[in-house]
Amino acid sequence: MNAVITEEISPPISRSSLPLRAMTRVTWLQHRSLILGVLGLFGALAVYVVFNSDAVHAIYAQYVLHKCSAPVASNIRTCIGITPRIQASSDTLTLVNIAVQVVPVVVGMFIGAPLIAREFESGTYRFTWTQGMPRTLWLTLKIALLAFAVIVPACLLGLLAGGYNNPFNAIGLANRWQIAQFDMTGLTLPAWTLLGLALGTFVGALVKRTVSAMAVTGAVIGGCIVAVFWKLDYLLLSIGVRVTTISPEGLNYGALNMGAETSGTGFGRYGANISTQPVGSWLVNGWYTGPNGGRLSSHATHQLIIRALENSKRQIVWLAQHHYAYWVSYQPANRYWIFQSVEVAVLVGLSVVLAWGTSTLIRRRA
Amino acid sequence: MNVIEVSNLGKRYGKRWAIRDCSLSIPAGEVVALVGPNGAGKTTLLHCAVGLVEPSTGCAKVFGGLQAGSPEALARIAFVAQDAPLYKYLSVHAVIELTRNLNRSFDTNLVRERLDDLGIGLSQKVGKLSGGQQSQLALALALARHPDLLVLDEPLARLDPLARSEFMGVVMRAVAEEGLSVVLSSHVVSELERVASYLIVLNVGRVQIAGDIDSVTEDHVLLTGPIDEVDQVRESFDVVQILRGDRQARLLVRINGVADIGPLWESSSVSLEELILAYLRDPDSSAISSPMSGGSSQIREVRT
Repeated sequence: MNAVITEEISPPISRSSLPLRAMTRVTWLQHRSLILGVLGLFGALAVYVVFNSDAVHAIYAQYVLHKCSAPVASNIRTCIGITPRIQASSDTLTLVNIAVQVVPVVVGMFIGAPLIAREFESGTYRFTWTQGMPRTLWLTLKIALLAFAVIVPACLLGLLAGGYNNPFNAIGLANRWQIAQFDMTGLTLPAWTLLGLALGTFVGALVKRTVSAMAVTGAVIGGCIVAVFWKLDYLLLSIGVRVTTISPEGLNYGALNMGAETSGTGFGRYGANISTQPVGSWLVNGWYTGPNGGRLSSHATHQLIIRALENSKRQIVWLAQHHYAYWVSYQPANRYWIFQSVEVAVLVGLSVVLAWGTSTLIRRRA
Repeated sequence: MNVIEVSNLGKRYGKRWAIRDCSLSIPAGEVVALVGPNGAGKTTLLHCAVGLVEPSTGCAKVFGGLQAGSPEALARIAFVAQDAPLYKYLSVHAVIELTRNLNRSFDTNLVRERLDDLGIGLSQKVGKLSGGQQSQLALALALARHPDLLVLDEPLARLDPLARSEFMGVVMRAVAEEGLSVVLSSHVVSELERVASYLIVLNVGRVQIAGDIDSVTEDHVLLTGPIDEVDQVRESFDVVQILRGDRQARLLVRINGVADIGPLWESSSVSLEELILAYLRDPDSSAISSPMSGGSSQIREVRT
């Protein structure tokens, strides 16, 4: 017995030279469960970020209201109560930043990897690639549509996550140049997501087995993210650094990158008190030079600090009197968007190369 | 016009050649049976013809010169692959929608009518259909494209006799109504005589027979006669197979227009199945281009 037909099949379609609408329908029919699943993940992350962001922003509003960035006698008691409350949310900050980094991995594993691998595994490539639509066009449009489906929410999620990080950056607990933040903005997160999708698709075409492709994709894209965290981001941000000497108060140079977002002089209680450091810049490295101008080794620096502490209560003065100087290399604040663009260009470039590689593979390996 | 034309076609997977130095032409307007044992290269040949596979050597053209797999060629060829692979997790309705969107021309009503006749519901999952129903669905989708050439790779292999008959009935009706050309690969030779008009026998990657079925069968006879005159017969005819008894021998020969046989020899016609099997048993025999000499030592001899 025939089942009841609940949906009317539309008549034959007239098609423009680029069958975008037809391919949208094909992509939706084939991948709707996965698309909805991944979008559900985006949604859950967004809700989580917004929920936590609202709480942090409410406290931060108090911080701004009471001008806590410039503590004075009149506001010090209030500010002492506010700042630790923002600090207390930093555990959630870490969780949010980690959770958002997972997005490109999930997209690569669950949307990218099965895209071609499943066609090979089930043999359906013999059906799809012998229809009227050439397979290169089929692949191009499919990747483009799926990319659109994940890039737009990734961009929104990146913006939400950026907004969530702002209060922490403003009070000097975190910094927009930090790797976790730098790679999850409204620009870089969609670029990473695109790379995940392109890589998964390429691996799927290469491996031709869905589960294997998912595992390889997860390992490779995860490995890329780890490599960026471990070294690559540092190397990227080391390109074309500016070097300057600053007051030896930069002894506490680990804090140089903190609290430089809101004003030129008030770095907040967690920032270093170095007015010469350019606002919003990112310290890459710091080192001492001796009276002869030579750079001191870590060991020599350590000995120097001990001597300075032993010889004077004002180590800074002592260091200056003995012609020691502290130098930093840094990226100026105005290069932030340049570096964002560079990272996006590299990721998008890699994605395009992988998509081209996939196209070559499916032309030759069927 | 030839619907498929391949010259020096070869496809290598690693070190193994699936098909090598294959040249053949398949004329339009025929129902062509491509026959051969498993591993003969039939699927590879068809995959090259529909553009799924890029040949390692040579080339495949369709419709008198179109590159196999080109957009123009894809628009005119419908292919039903072995085991009729379809998206099992989709409903029949979704598969029809999907196919419609992958083609410029698609007759949805034709598929619906066909599926209605077969009792296949549109809301059923493809994976829940029987093998025969999946094959019928794949065929209906292919025919709804109104192709000039229908290529079927082992369509009968997983069908029971009734389903085979129904399946081929649909194909033959389409041939009669629309005049499309059909290329049908199979290693089930028993039913081909009824449906095919042209035969190609492919064995170990090379073509043994290519021709109109009536001509091919008329061109071959079974000769039965005294065993001591076998050598004389082998001088006059291309011998495909020899079966030797104690006193008599039975030879399957290609007559090549020669009518003279000795008085002690009896001639009888050969069935298509018998003919095909004889060629398949002897991959070195060939009824095309370079006929074997009657005295070739490569002729398969069977002692009875």
